[in-house]
Order: sequence, then C-alpha cells, then structure tokens
Amino acid sequence: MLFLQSHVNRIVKVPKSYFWERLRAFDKIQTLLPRTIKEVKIPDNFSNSPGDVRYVYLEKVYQGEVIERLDGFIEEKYMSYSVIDKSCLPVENYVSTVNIKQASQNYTEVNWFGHFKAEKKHKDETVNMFNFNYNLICDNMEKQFNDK
Amino acid sequence: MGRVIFKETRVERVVNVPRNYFWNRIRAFGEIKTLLPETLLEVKLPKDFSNSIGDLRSVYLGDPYPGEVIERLVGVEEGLSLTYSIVDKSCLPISNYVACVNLKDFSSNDTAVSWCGHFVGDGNTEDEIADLLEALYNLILNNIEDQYKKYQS
Repeated sequence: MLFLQSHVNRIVKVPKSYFWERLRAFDKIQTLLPRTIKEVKIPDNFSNSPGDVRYVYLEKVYQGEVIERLDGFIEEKYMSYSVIDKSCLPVENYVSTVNIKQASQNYTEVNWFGHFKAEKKHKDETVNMFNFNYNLICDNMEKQFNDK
Repeated sequence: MGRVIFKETRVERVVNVPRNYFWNRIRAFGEIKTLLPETLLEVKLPKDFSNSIGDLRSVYLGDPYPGEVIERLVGVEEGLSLTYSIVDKSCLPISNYVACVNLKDFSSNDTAVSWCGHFVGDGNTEDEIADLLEALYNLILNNIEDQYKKYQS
C-alpha cells in the first residue's frame, strides 16, 4: 500500500465564522454533501466533542458505511477527523485536517488535507475522490451561503 | 451501527514552560526520543524526512509492548495544535490512533496543554493502553519541564 495525500488549498467565498460553524457541526455533514451522502446516523450520546463519531452512509461509487471520528479542533482555526478502518472506502488510516484563516472579511482561505494508505491500483481514484469532495463541500458552502 | 470500542486518553495540565518552547519541542517531530529518552529504544526517520505534514517517524518500544510504531505527522496549526497518528499494525494492540496536542498561553512562562489520544481497542487491553498513553503524555510533559530548567540554568 502507498502513503497518499489529498490536498485542497483555495479561497472560499464565505466569512470565516460561517465556514467554521458549518464545518464544526460534525453531525450535519449531510447538509454539505446532500447528493453524495445517503444518510448520517448519530449516536445518542453525541455532543459534538472530540472523540464523537458519525456514521456516514454512501450509495454512489462506494456503497456502505464510513465511521468518522472528530479528533480535535482549535476554535475557528483547525479541525481534525479520521475514518475508522474497515469502511466501504478502499483506504486505510485516513486522517484529515482542515486549517482555515481569514482571507478578507467575506473570504476564507482553506487548507484541507487528507492522509491515508491505499493500494497502488486505487491511487489516482482515491486522491481525486477526496480532492473532489473537499472542493464540493467548499462549493456547496458558497452556494448555501449565497442562498441564505 | 456496529460495535466498535472507542477509547480516549486525555491529559490536561499546566506545564511550567513558555508556549513557544513547548511548541518547538513537540513540533520537532523527528526528535521525539529527546522527550522520552528512557522509554524509546530508537527512532528511525526516512531519508526524505523534512518535518513536514505527512512525514513519518518509526519509534521502537521495549516492554510491555516491544516493537515498532510508525507515526505520521498529519496536521499543524502553528504554535497552537499538532495532530499525529499511528499507521499500519503497530506493536500496540490498538487501531486508528490519532492524537491532538492543543496549547494555550497560561502565563508568559506557563502553557496550558490538552493532549488527547483517540483509538479503537481490541476488547481486552484498551484500559491498560489508555493508562499507558496517559503515563507517556505526562512523562513527556515532565521531561519538557525538566529539560527547560536545565536549558535555563
């Protein structure tokens, strides 16, 4: 298996506080990927704290369950989360970090990383898939902010 | 939702060193042996190691869990937070280990540290591992304090 990395660095046309609130709502991920995620289940004891998990169900390309865990955050700056192994995705040891900073009053600079291992045959598709989803979340956030 | 044993180890304390000093010590990802000199047998770094996000360190432990642990630097918020994880099958009976170290100024000479590790246990040893990790986090903090005192004197 290869050590791989996805990385998206871009300006998102929403205020930093808005981006942070949407990202930090760990249980609301389906609102950011409404056409990608079929369902999200949240445990009864979920409190949106480090260590909490969300169960994400996908139906396109890779069908099945992905358990994601919120690992840590610094308010309005940084968040990390990971995928618990044996998901429906062809990756292992996936950990993601999101750094944000204010680019201007209404724009946010985002650095979204994903680190994982995958078989060589899945290299391009997995790297591209995560990059695509990070960008889709950013696009949806812009669209939803404008529709607000 | 199946049964997975999620476990957390957390140490929150004030460490008697300036935040900048603390940050420089943990940010030196390849220098972890200096923080656990009597615990780690050896640390190996890849030739292309550059202390950048995504870089790996191979850490070798003795008893009670002898063997190799490969750790990956996965994220940094400069001066405030560092995230690392264990990749592959290590000598520890856990999986999906990710740790975050968050720092805040407590005073000009003291740092408030929150060191939090999350992992999936094997159903038998997770409490023991949680205690082991808590002891290691505290030992690192104690060693940083001791080494800072020597650095000053």
